[in-house]
Amino acid sequence: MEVVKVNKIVWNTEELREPIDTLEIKGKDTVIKFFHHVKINEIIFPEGSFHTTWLLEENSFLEIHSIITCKEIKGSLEICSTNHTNCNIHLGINAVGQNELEIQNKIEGNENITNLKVRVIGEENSKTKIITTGILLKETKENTFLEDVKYLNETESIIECHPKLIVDSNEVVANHNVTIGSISESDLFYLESKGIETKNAKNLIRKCFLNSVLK
Amino acid sequence: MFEIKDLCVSIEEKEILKDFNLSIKEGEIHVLMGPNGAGKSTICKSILNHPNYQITKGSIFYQGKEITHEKTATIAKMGLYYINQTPIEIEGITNLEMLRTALNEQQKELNIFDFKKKCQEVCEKLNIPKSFITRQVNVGMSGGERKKNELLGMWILEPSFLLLDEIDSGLDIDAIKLVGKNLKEYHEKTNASMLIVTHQKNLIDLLNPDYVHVMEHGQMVKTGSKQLAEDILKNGFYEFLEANMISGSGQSE
Repeated sequence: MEVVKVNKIVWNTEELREPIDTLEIKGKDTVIKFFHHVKINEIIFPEGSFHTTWLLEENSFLEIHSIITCKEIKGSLEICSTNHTNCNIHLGINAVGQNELEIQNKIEGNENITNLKVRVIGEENSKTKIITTGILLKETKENTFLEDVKYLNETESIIECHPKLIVDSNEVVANHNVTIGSISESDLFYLESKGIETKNAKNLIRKCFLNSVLK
Repeated sequence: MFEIKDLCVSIEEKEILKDFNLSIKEGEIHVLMGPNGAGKSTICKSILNHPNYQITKGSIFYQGKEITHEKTATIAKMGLYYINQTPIEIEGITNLEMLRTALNEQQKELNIFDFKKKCQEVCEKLNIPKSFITRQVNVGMSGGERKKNELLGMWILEPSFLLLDEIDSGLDIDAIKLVGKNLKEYHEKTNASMLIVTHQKNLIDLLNPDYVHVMEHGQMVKTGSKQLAEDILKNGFYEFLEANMISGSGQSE
């Protein structure tokens, strides 16, 4: 599958219509339009600050299962759902350094489904802020917005997660949750009792925590 | 080969084991029995230096080396393999990932094709689907499947000492036979030593242990042959402890 690198200024847009392997966002301000069924296996965000807007056109289906390493980013991803869209974004974030990432889904039309699953771990001494926002505008109907954020607080790192839900419509199914977990002692003892050293057992648990976003 | 000398173990300052002694030679099968709360599971976990169990006195030796305060992984890498009565689920980690990592740590690395081939052979032996290899560790498995999954690990990692804490719990009669047959076959193939906590007659009959030990209140109160297990299974602990005039007969801690 192909790799699409998006590096356009805001008044020009990249259009994606077919499955791609990697979507690499290179510009500071990008707009991408999604049509039909687009499946992406890897997302790469640029270092530093960026803003990217994704427009889900009518009847489009966007599916992402990706593990990303966020290193010194300050970015925002704005997803606009129109009508009859299906958006499944599953991200495993390995945070290095200081990061701030906002993922916002604005639902402007009817009969849209969004499923946002985020798993976050922070490398030692990292500081990460993740803001996930669902906005369901007035007079929209039959939309579903589900948000599930978990982070594994295990190393000397700081992770802040801010789930937000702004609902202006009465006909909506919306759910959001954030879970903070740490490596359980019994999991660790179990792996150690199989002969896996503590450090490697922890790495295995961390890796698998992120891998849970992959299909 | 394996020796426990005057071991005292506490949990949250409550003494569970008191001057416990045990010696197991290479290839021997020992069965450990005792009423609930006698300290049988504590023995198993203390051998592996579980962080919640404080060894306050005594020592444990394996293959001539003291392992009393060694790290759990180091002890396991020396060839000890522990199966708990209720193996836990670990979400996200597959058997494949866990066992390959464990093999790498023991420097017994197999390439992926040989590894899968070996796993498939073991799955047949255990009468479980080959898909077990890629399933998450014990996730969504019944009690019986979990025990078989643990035996999958045993066949792959090839330990020299098995520490089995009520491996028969939650198993139906056919599963007990299969587990017993597998353990017997493994013993015949590798001459591994075994310390088995069990009160299951079928398993004891299948494995034909060299020694049977009885524990009460954190101490070993009697050692004998397989006949000892048969007597206890016939008459119960209370009668046995009364007859042997062991204080606190039949009372759990």
